[in-house]
Amino acid sequence: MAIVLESLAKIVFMFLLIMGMVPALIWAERKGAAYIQDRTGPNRASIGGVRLAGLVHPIADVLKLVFKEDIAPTHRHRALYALAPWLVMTVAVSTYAVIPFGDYLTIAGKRIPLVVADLQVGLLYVLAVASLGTYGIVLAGWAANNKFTFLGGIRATAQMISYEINMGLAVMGLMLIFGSLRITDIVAGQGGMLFGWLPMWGVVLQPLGFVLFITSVYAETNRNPFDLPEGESEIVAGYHLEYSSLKFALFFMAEYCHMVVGAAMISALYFGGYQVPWLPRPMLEKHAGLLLLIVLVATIAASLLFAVLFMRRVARERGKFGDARDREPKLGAGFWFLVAAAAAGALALRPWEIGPAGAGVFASLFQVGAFVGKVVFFAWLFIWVRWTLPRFRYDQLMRLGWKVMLPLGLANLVVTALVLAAVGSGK
Amino acid sequence: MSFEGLSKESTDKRRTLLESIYLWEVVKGLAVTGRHLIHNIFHTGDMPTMQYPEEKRVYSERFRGRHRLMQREDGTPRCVACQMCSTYCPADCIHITAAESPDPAIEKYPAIFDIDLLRCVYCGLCEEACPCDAIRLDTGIYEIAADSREKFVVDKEFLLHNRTDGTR
Amino acid sequence: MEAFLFFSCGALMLLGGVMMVLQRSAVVAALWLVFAFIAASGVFAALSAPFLAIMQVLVYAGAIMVLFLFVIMMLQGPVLEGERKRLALPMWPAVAIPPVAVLVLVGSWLSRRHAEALPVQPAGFGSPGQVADLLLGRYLLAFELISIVLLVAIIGALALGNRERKLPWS
Repeated sequence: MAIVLESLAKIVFMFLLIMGMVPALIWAERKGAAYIQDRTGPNRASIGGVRLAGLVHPIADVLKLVFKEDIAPTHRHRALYALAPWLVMTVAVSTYAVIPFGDYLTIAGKRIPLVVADLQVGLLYVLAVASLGTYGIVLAGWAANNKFTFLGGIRATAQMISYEINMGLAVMGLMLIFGSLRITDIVAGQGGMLFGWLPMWGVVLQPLGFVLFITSVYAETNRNPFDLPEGESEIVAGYHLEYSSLKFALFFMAEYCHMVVGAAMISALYFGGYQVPWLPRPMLEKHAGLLLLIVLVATIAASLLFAVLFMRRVARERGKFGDARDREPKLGAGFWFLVAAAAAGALALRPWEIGPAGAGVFASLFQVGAFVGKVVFFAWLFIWVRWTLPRFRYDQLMRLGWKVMLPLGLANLVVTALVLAAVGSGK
Repeated sequence: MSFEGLSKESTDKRRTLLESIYLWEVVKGLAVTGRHLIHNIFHTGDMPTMQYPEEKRVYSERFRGRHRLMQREDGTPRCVACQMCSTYCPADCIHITAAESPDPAIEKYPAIFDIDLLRCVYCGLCEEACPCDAIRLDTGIYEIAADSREKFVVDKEFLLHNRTDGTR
Repeated sequence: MEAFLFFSCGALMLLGGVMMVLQRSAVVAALWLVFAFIAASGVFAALSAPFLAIMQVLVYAGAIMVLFLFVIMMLQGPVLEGERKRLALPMWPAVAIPPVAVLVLVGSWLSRRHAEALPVQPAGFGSPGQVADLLLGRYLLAFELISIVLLVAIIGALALGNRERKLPWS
């Protein structure tokens, strides 16, 4: 029973993490795109005048999508048309099962590994589930019975198959080095140091593998520069053209879930997952008090900075809008002052005298934080790349996949195997 | 910020090795967009975006906005219903029905003077054509909105009371 | 638990196979085949062969059937359904759940009776390392021969499919 509860708690945590990141990513996509293009971006929707720099827009979006009419083509394949968005979403979410979001957490003497399912073949599981993701897109394209969605689906199949192979080849290099297909083993193996100062991350050991992997992940998630299945300049919106309302919302959410999966995979396999560079677990536990102090002081400093920025706006924007929005700077300043006060209050509890049990929990949470931070960075990288690079042409995509990346991946695998055989350190 | 990525040289020159690897070019591209992003985060005021309903763009004095009909001193329309503007109008958006004026010094006056704002192309030819300077596009009003097509057909009374400051 | 998984996945696999044969649309048939593959992967998992289970999904469902689907769709194109009367969408679970439930019940009944039928495997059985040892050790010759056969098949398909185009060796 305890194990069921434990797993359930982990599943819920992971699910909330993903679902919490989706609106944040939508916001980051819009706002980031706007700032990259010298625009202001969304800043209108507000709750009682509080706009949160546009963060209210995803909520407004959800409301809009929920209440929109569900328009569907008459000559669709009904069952498959309804199935496709769910398939896409299910596949997007189920990959998280094998990604460790932390090392372990010790509660009341019980050691809980922070991964939902620690599969022996976790790496292959990720590839397998990702390959099933094709079906949702293909079926959406086919079942809607529209030329453009169909073209999108066809493009998706060819693209996914081509890049899955590259993805597999890229991670095989890692498998050779760490001698395991278990993702927790791979992440744990990245905790060491190379030459005593360089973190032994996958990206250091397999730079070419990393480039191949990240490119394949971008192709697998159908994000720019590989978003040919959507290709709005050529095939309108590609596979999800005929979907509206909540079904479209599922596709939209699945795209961002895929992004989070991709970011989590990149950080787990090539950037040490939950490992904090130069701060291995024993160090974290030993200096927990000091680190906690640093975190709290940094929180106070950051929130005071935000509060000051809001205070500046209070004076500058007095009566600028003439409605509830004028309250926002004051509320923002108040909120950040409260955060600073809360952190200062926590400081009064003498956190540097944290006990060994507390130190363990703190170390676990710190590592989870490190993982989430890496995921957020790589998710942002997805957005950043999208608003930087133009889309590939289809023949270019195929040439890159088969004529450039496949030979490079094979060469990378062979060289890795040879080096490992020469060094003799392949476990 | 300027368009630093663009150059006037021909783009079909042979690619160098570094360019054909493509990755370095990706990093350079990311640096360009990243620079814009960072700059805009810290200099939000530099962005050309206007918060439209609160802030409004100032147009030139010569901007052709919604039409107005000029009035005489006594408040009657200056228009003599000569049909010059509606004849000249390339979009055929002016509809005038003339009637005999009660004033003996004036031959006709417009009983009906309708303009379909949706058809109008704001070219200003009616202004040019008018012999009595009765129609002008100098109100500067560009917020022309309504919730039905019928409401875009404005009549004489509306046009006579269109003022340059946007009030009716 | 393993026995239950084994028998119910086996039953679902049968269901997938039968439904595949009964379909009129090739695309739907291909999807039922995918369903059968995934159920087969469950059977492998129940037989404590996780590597094979994942490979079943990765290779058959994820790669081969996607290619099949690609070809079917290319040849068949977007398909119109007839004006046949169809079930309203909310009815689908009502139609789909009873047979699945019956199959799972049969599976659980069978597993109750044949729980001892599944052999207990030693630790590490079916791990990637062991599979690799077998494939690239004991059965190396057969493994390599099969890959040569596949290569020959590919070249043969190319040669047959490209009658008009001059191939380098013809």
